[in-house]
Amino acid sequence: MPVQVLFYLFACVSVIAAFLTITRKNPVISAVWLVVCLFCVAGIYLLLGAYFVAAVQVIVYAGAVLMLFLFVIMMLNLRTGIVGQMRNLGIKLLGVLIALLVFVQLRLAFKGVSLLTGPELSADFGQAASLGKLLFSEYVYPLEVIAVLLLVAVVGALVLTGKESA
Amino acid sequence: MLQTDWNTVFPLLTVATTAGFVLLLAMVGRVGTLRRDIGPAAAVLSVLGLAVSAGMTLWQWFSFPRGFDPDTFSGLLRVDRFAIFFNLLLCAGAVLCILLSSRLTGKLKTFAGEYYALIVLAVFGMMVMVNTTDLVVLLVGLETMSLAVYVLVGIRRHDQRGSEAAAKYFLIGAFASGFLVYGIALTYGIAGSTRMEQIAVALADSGGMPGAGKVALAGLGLVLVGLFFKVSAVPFHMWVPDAYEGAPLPVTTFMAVAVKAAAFAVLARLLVIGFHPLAHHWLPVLWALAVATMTLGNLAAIFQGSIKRMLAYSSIAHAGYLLVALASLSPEPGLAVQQRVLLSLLYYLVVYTLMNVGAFGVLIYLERGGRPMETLEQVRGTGYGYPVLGAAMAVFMFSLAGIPPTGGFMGKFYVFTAAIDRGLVWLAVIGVLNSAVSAYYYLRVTVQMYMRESEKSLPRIPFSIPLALALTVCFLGIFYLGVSPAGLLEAAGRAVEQATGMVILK
Amino acid sequence: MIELSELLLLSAVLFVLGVVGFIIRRNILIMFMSVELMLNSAGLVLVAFSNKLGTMDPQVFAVFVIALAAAEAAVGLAIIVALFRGRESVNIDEMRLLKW
Repeated sequence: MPVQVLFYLFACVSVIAAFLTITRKNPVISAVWLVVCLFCVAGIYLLLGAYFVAAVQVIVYAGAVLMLFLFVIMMLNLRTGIVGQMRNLGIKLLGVLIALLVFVQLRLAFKGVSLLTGPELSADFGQAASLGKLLFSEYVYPLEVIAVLLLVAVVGALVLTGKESA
Repeated sequence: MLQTDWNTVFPLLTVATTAGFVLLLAMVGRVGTLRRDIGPAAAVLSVLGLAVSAGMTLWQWFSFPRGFDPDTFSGLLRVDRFAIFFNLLLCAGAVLCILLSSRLTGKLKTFAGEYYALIVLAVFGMMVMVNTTDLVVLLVGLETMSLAVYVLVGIRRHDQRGSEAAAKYFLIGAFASGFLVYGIALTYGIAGSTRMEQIAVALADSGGMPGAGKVALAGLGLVLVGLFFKVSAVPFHMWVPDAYEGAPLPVTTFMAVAVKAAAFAVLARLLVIGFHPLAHHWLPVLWALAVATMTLGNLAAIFQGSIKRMLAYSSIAHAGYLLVALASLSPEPGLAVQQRVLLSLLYYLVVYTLMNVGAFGVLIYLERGGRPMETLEQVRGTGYGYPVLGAAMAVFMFSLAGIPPTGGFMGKFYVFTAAIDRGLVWLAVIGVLNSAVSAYYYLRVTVQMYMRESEKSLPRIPFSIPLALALTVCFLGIFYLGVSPAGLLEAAGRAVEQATGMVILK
Repeated sequence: MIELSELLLLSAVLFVLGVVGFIIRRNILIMFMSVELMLNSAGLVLVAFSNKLGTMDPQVFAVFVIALAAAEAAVGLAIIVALFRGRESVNIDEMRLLKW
């Protein structure tokens, strides 16, 4: 089945890209691999019928956020800070150990999970219209709070990097 | 169509609007010809806004539940007495911190208005957190609060330590919210809802879905890890000393007081409602963490030369005492058995707010001309130079150590008796031993201030009305709560009646 | 049909890679990218459950998570820029003023 094949393709590429993100020395290359990973996840969203979320993922996440990352990296123009930023071996091993532990736990937890029914998805599933209706009716309160959150982000970025008047 | 009762949302709306007006004021202060220091005006405006919000909240308290609709926005906003109690506490804590900030914003100049706006916005986030039983709303509120506090930590941009503290706090905070978000996502998958009440129902009968039990446990663990970072429980505490030390003192106060109170409020709600069916799994974890947090916090505090860092470790230790309260929750369903525990938690948080604001306030007061008053050497002899401040600091230290007749003693008394009532005598004993250890380093500050003459004569400190006001409130409050705790206890009792919202656990 | 357990497994792998990256790397930017990976894996869980439960609500949450990540990125990168103004590196071990 093509859906299955595509899923495995996206899954493999996203895992490889994520691995490369955390192991590259140069943050620019890391950021590019992160974009690849986010694109693959967006592809999986498409396979799952979440069209609008997939679009948001590409536009906001891969587009805006990662561009911001690249912009900052290039603006800072790091000369000395780019190379060799690994912790010493002990902490590295400890980190991998902790992570493996978390992973084994999650793997065990997810092993038998399946839902009894694969529900029929409604015709407007994943469409912007139905998501928008939900956002502006049932979830209007968290949406408004997110408006405040974005205000905090704007004010915060301004305070930290804006020009100081004399 | 959605019906919204404006009486319900008014306190939140007031806080958000206040932040908007403060920002406008900051903008006006930057206009070319008008250029002037709007710091004091912004402070007054923020305090007024928070006071109006607190007043409305107080009205909600007395008219609950008939005067307004406690559940609005399709149940995402839940204003019960538990939430109202915390709204008041958070507003009060924020107002006290604003009173402590007058000198800091005098130095900030350009961003004084934004500083107050960010404090008010952080309070908004906290109020959103405590006014809901929905995990997604909780997450959004928590993130609003956190982002504002990250910026506040780094608000002195030219101070290397401040920027580093902000960077570390931000990284750890983002890491923690990563765990929280993933945990919430998994929990949603199991329960099919993000409402705590429905999560409880779904967890209680996990027969609906094969393998759901383990996923629920994974979700529980991840959510708890995220929140443990926020309340600074021990394996997740490493950011606290750095962030507290690098931040400006008023911001440190705000973090120690308001952020912690809000985090404990949501942790308590989550454990009492949402994850209560899994109590057998999280109770032992809480026992271990409470012991580790108390002990490590106190032991590390002994070895600190900086009072600011010492107070950071002391706040970890106090998080341990608060975890003792949560660890005494009963695995039995039903609210009556939880009431004493939650009561002690609420009482302790109020006292904790007062004594921390007090202790940090004295340090801020002593700080003059930009010279920090942070190490034990620096405060030596100040008790003779400034007898009133010395006496106030002594009282706050006694209270932090838990010596009667201060509020700190009553707070610990209620927490530990609640633990004993639950049969956790060993936990209470460890707690009392820890208090004894903590007395050493708290009293050392007083000893340094009084027992030695200062080498040089101390300069006069200019009198500051807002600082004096905040210190007086804390000073009187600690004695009042230590001598007659009944009033607050009754209020806390009425607050916890509704801690679980409208739902009766089966 | 994509199996739910496979989707969850993929999200777990991405999440754990994020955790590993955060712990082993000392470059603030890459540590922060690791956090983005973690948030992203949470989004994947939400969308997976949305598909399997047949409801749109988790997709709303996924959009919220993306908004959170964007706001977090704005503030985080501002902090990094402010930090970098005074120094030459973004290596966390070179921060000496505060003990880790």
